[in-house]
This record gives sequence, structure tokens and C-alpha cells, in this order.
Amino acid sequence: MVTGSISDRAGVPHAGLLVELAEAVAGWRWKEAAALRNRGCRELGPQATSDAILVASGFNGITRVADAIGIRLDPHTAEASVALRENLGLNAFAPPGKW
Amino acid sequence: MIGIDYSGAALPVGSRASAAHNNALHAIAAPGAWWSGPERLAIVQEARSAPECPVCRRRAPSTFAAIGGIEHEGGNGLPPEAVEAIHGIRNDSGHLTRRWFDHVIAAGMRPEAYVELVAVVASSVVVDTFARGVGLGLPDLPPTQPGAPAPESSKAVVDAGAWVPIAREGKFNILRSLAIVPSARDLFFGAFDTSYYRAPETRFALTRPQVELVASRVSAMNECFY
Repeated sequence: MVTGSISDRAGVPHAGLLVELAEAVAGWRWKEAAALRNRGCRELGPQATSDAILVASGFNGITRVADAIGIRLDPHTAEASVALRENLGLNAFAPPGKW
Repeated sequence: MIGIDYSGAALPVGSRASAAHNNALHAIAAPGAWWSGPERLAIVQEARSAPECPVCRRRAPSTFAAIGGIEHEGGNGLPPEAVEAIHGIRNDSGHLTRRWFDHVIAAGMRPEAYVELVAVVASSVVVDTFARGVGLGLPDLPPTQPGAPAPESSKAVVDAGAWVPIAREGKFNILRSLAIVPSARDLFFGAFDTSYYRAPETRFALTRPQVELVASRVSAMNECFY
């Protein structure tokens, strides 16, 4: 769901809008983000839209910490994400030579 | 106002996030452990200009493994290895490799200085992304605070297979990652914490699955393995 096409049928309300907003914000595509922000205010509400941008902003930073420090997957995170990582293809994000 | 005034934002912004982001900017302007206040602000300025770097746009991600001789435009007076590190972290963090890191260190940067640089870049990404996301411009940077860096190199770290030693204790490696420079760890997580469930009082106007969806999507978009 997260790396592929998004549908609100995935079970998370407003999943499609949230993903589009997350991508536009994290990708610094501000014109697109402004339109999605307006749509978010109508469909999610202003506070929920602001919170979605806050979460996206935080993860735009913390992913850089993880990748720039070269941390390994810890057992707790690995255990909790086995199926998720396989289903979403996240294991492919460790480039050859990462470590 | 120096820093961020979210009162003009297109969306409501909570006082905790506002305070966290302002604190982060002011902390960056002060001397750190291995970089001075002016140098830390220069790191932010370089991180802000990095997305427009023509050198970064031209080179394919795989060339990050062989960066010798590449020079980026600008630099804000920072050493070339710092500029390379900033551009790599800002523009293509998902493709950074151990060889790239070794090159940065071999060029003359202490691992502790690198860790602090990572924290400064990532903190500025958090703050800048949010400010722009809620419809404001990039925040004005505070004036630099005088003083020399106060070197830190924590001994409470261990080699856990990361590029730098991380905290000896801790459940999640991400929370252990910046521990060799405690002030850098505090800077970054001070900026980040209101963006996730790091404090018991954290409340979002989104459901937990919605928060996790946004977090996961950004992680996938940045090609973050962790």
C-alpha cells in the first residue's frame, strides 16, 4: 500500500489524500502541496492536515538521520516489520555497499 | 520576528511544535560540539540550496560511491567534504554508502563532526519542510551566537555495525544513532519529537494508522531502509 498505488479501500480513511500530501510535502513540491493542503482542509479538517504535514516533515528528517548514520535494522524494528518490509519491498532500499 | 512565527500559517500549528522548531533554530545558531554557530548556520544555508545543485542533478545515484574530485557549487565557506556530506544527506540519503562515508571522513572530517552535521541538516529539513508545508516561506535564521565549539565524544557508545558508534543502551537503533555527540542527539530529537509519538502527551487529529501511513510513505519515498 505504501510503495504502490493508493486506494482509500486499503482501510485507512483518506489514504489517497494523505499519501499525495505526504509526497508533495516531503518532495518540496509546494504548488502541489498548496492544492492538497486546501483539499485536506475540506476533507480532513485544518488540524488533521497540519498534523499530517508535521508527521511528514519529521520523517523527512529522521530518514536522513537513519541513512546518513548507516544504522542497521534493530531486532525490535525487524521483528515488527517482517511482513511490511516484504510486502512493500522495503528491503530493496538497502543499496549495495550500504555497509 | 527571528525564527518562526506560525501565526501567519495557512493551518493551525500547535504550541509544542512551534516551540520545538524555534528552539531548534536557535540551538543551531549557537556553538555546537564540533562546529561554531556561524558554521552551523552555513550548514543550514547549504542544505537549503543543495536541491538546486547542478552537480547533484547530473550525477546518478550510483556515482555516490565514487565522489572523488566532484565539487559542488556554492559551499557557504564550508570545507569541501562538509559540502559533499550536506548535499548527499539532503539530496539522496537513500543511496549513501559506507564507501561514501569513508571518503568524507578520509577527507578530514571527524566522525563526531559528521554526526553533528547530520543532526543540523536533518533538523533544518524538519523545520523547513513544515514551515513551507503550512504555507510559509523558509524561516529566517537567528543571529549567530558567539563562542567556540565545546567538543563532545561520548564514551557510552558501541560499535553496532553502523558507520559510527551508537548508544550502548537502547531498544531502537534510530534513537541510539546520534549518541556519540549528545548535544547533536538533543538537537535533532528536540526538533523531531512533536512529529511522532515520542512524548506521552502527543496527540494528533489523525488516527494512528493515518499517522503511520504518512510516516511510511515518506520513508519509502526517501528510500529509507530502516
